[in-house]
Amino acid sequence: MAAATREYRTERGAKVYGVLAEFPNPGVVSHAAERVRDAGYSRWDVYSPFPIHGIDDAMGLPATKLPLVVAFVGLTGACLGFIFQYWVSTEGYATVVQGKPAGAWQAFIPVTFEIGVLFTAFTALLGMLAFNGLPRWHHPLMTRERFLGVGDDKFFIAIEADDPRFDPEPTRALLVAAGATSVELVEEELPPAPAPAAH
Amino acid sequence: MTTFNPDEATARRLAGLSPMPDGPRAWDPVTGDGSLVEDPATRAPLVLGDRSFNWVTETVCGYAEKGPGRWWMPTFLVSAHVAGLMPLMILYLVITGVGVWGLNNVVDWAWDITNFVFWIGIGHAGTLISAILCLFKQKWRTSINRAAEAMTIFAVICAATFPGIHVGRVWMAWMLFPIPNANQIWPNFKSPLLWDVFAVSTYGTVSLLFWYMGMIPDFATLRDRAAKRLLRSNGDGPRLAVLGWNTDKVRAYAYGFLALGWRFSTRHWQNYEKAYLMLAGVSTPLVLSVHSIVSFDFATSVLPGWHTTIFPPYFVAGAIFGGFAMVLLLMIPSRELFPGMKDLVTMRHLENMAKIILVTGYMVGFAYAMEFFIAWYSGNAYEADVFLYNRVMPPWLAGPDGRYAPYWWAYWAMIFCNVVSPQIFWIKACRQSVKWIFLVAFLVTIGMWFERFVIIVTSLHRAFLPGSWGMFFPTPVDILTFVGSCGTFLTLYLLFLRFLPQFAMSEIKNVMPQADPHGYDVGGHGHGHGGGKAAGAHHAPDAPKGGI
Amino acid sequence: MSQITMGHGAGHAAHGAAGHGHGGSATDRANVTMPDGWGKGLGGVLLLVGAACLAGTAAYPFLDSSDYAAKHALAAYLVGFTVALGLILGTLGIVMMWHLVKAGWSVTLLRQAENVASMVPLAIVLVAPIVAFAPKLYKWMNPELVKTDEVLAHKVGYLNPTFFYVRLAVYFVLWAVLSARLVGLSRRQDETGDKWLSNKMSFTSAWGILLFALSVAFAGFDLLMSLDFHWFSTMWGVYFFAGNMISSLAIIVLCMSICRSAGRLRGVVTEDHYHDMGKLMLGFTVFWAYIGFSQYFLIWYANIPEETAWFLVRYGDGWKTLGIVMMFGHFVGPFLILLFRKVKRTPALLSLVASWIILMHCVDMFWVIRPMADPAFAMKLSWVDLTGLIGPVAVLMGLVVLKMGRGNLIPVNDPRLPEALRHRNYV
Repeated sequence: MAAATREYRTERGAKVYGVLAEFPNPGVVSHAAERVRDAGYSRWDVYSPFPIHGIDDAMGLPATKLPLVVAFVGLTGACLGFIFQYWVSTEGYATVVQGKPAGAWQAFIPVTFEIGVLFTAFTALLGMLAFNGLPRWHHPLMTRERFLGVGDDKFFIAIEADDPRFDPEPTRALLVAAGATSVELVEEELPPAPAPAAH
Repeated sequence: MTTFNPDEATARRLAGLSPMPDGPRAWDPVTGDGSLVEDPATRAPLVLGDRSFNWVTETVCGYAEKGPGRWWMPTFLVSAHVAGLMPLMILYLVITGVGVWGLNNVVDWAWDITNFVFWIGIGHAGTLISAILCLFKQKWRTSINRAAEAMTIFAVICAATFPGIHVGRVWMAWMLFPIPNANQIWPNFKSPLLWDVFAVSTYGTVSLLFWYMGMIPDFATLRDRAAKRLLRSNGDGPRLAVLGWNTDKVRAYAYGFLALGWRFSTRHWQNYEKAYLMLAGVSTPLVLSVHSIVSFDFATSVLPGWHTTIFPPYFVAGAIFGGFAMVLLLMIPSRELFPGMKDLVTMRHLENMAKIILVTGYMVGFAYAMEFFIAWYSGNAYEADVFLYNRVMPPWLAGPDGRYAPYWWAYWAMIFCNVVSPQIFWIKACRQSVKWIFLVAFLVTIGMWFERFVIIVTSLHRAFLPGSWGMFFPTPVDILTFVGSCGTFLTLYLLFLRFLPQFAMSEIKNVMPQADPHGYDVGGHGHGHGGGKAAGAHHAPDAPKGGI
Repeated sequence: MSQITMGHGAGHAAHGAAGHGHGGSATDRANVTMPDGWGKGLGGVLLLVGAACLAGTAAYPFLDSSDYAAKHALAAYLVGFTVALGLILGTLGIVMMWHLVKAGWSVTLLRQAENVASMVPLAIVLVAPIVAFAPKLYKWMNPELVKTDEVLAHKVGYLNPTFFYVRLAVYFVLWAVLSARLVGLSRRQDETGDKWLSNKMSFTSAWGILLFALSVAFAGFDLLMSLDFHWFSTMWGVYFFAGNMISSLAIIVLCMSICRSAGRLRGVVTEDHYHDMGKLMLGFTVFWAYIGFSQYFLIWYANIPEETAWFLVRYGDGWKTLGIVMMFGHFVGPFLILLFRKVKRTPALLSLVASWIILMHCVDMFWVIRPMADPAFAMKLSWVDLTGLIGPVAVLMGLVVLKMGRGNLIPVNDPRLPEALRHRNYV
């Protein structure tokens, strides 16, 4: 675990984010992902213009817990919606309308459903963002011109320097052996430029 | 380690051919544009012309970056002016009163609610295509879902306006929402009209979320392209005519802001796909519920012609029917006007939509027939009367008492447009012809407007007491408000065409044959997916991939 | 169009693999047919149980002294018959829909659905007692009543015995033709490997499903709605259809599991197929609830006496409890359980849910039919309710099991079979 505390810096003094390797197509990148997974890396990711089929297995990702959260919030929202309507119709502003009992549950079903859906939808979107740590408008990878093609037709694997198994040369060698067409080092932001010496 | 076209499969297939031109290709004489394959063993390609991922990016981003062409600005100006009619008419209505409309004490819901139901119905196809077809794994949806979702949002905007302005005292419209207020008054949750408020606003919100979420990766693509050009041009790129800002910088910031920092990470995709599936999962019953609740506005009453139990599914089927017609009305011209779009929206896409129109047309027809049958079967004299003397009976068939249905023309226009006209889709040549599809889509759109008119106006104009019978005639304000809403819809849609990604690029790429990682020959033999399940076919290199 | 040529290749490859059984393939003959003599035991037991129950139901009027014994027995039998008919019709509908949308993933399930759908002749046999004793069951057949009941007099043009029998004959002939044609074409494809037969099945389904929808709706009116001849609901046909669909999806899942428990269809019907069937079951659970609730809700809200009568009956005695049982058992429970991916992907769990859903469909039909059998709409349960239900269903399942034992378990030469074999759910 000592490796985890190692910190890499480039010659310019910038902290190393990790290595970025480009792969020619979804097939090679899936295959490479399996090799990275089998090599025991944990802080790494595959970047592709679309979700590649079966890549979750290739990367060894566990199933996401998002559905549980969404289902829980959605059902809670529906219950709250029902209780609110019931309260409004029996306590808040009880009026006899349409000859129905004040707390006629049947009439509350449509709105209960809509509120449940509303909660579910917001949780799905916001939960997805929260699980992904978004919004985050800047990222070290985005400074690499090569990486700007990821939304088009490029496929990448990035292994972070924080990974306990990260070691520049073996990691690079692994990626090259897995079929990378190019491997480059990614820096985090440069430290502020040194103040000009006063003479 | 050579650098080559990343779409290796495509590249290999294209070996020997010159680079794929963007211009017209040789068409397959047997199968039309190549998508109308009859062979049941073959799935028609979803993207024609053996395109690469890069072609999809260039084409779709090109629509938003280069602009649609010269036709756009004049069209936009005209439609924006038409759209201007709507606020004008609403202003006139508000400062004068609902008397400027043609409705009266007998027909107290008329054009406003007809237009509301018409627009909200159109708004259903978008979420339907996105959600239901997504759940049913209909991969062809990827080419049409974005435009359809956009259409949904704009239609809901038009729809929500009408009930908002028909409440009479529009400045009291805030009381529709359950907000605590000084009078301790709460809305009536047992009223269908309040359910409508919740249904339509939920639908609008969820559709917007769904649409936006789908666009996040595409915004990121647009952002990255702008950022790349900025890097290369060193800030010397083209500038906006008005403010003089660097266009790519504006794009990088605007699309970048909307992309929320999306960086195409697989860990992100995993959550994204789940969230998208869940949104699709709740949107499907949402579509059903919204139009069902709209139908409750009518069906919970005791009015003959309104109160019938089949209304909820009947309204939903009608909404899908009319919505698909509108999708076709919008996509067919786009397909002609934008270069390369015929490879994305193939004839097979159009044919599939034509078939859906045929099927949903039958569903609507089934509901018409059921209403008729039960009106007679129930033995309820009023029900029977409504159908005969409010809707069907033309003057020349009037009985000895001289009674006929004053709105018979509306009823028969509806039947002709909705039930008769789609029948031509039984003929293969018609459902594979852009012109016929467009014509039927046009008729269906009109027919669906008439359907709502028939349901609302004709049911109301004959009350239980003959003394309070009346007629409804629209005033110019009625008509111009509706025309204005059409303009609003078109204007918003044109803005969408100009500035936003018209196709879900990441989803289209995902259904292209070269997206399948198993299609590549990597390291000799397979790489551990599926554990030998369904062996044999699993790695068949020539198996048909992603198709309709 | 390179893709098109690719497709041709795949089609031929599939024929080769499936038709001639190359070793090691998932579509080996040994994997897609049952062992010799399989199913005789299970099928025989089911048939025996069914026959015993049918005999018991038939004997009930002679064993019970109550005035309404015959009507009780008939109504109990109608419940069982409607469930069995619903399974046959629902699977027929599913087969047609799959053909219509040219579904690929479901090809490995198609034959199981066809096996149930091919039982229309059985339904024709089973409907005989209903036809024979209809006047005991359907009050409107009483000519005396027509004279005194004004509403009935109005609709006597539709509700009269002759037309009723004619309509039933038309429905059953139509269903028999559709099922014979679709099942026949599919079997012909097994033998000849002619992929173009798939297009014929699609076309048959296109016109077939139109007539099918109409006939199912009107069969729902005739067999069930007319039990209370004053009552009417435009939604009724859709309600009947929704119940049939959900129970038929469940029966297909059970058939898949039976095949797998015999060690067959390994790698052919995978957990991914279960997953999708689970999703469809979830969808139709919601659809059934949607239709059922809408119908009830609109009638409850408008509160017009001629419509509420039907529900008032089912508010009384034990019927209301059954209604609540259905609300939770037919909708809330399966809905919540089927939300879990794990449940949908675990064959044993999904089969359990499927059995539960079929049970709930039986409760539904019981709730619809049985109150009308008692003059006071009372819930007087007796053993005949059990035999009446089990009889037709057990006979149907017995024959389906016997059918499974003969012939292929999947359409081995379907051109879309490779797609189904490759099918995976990635999300």
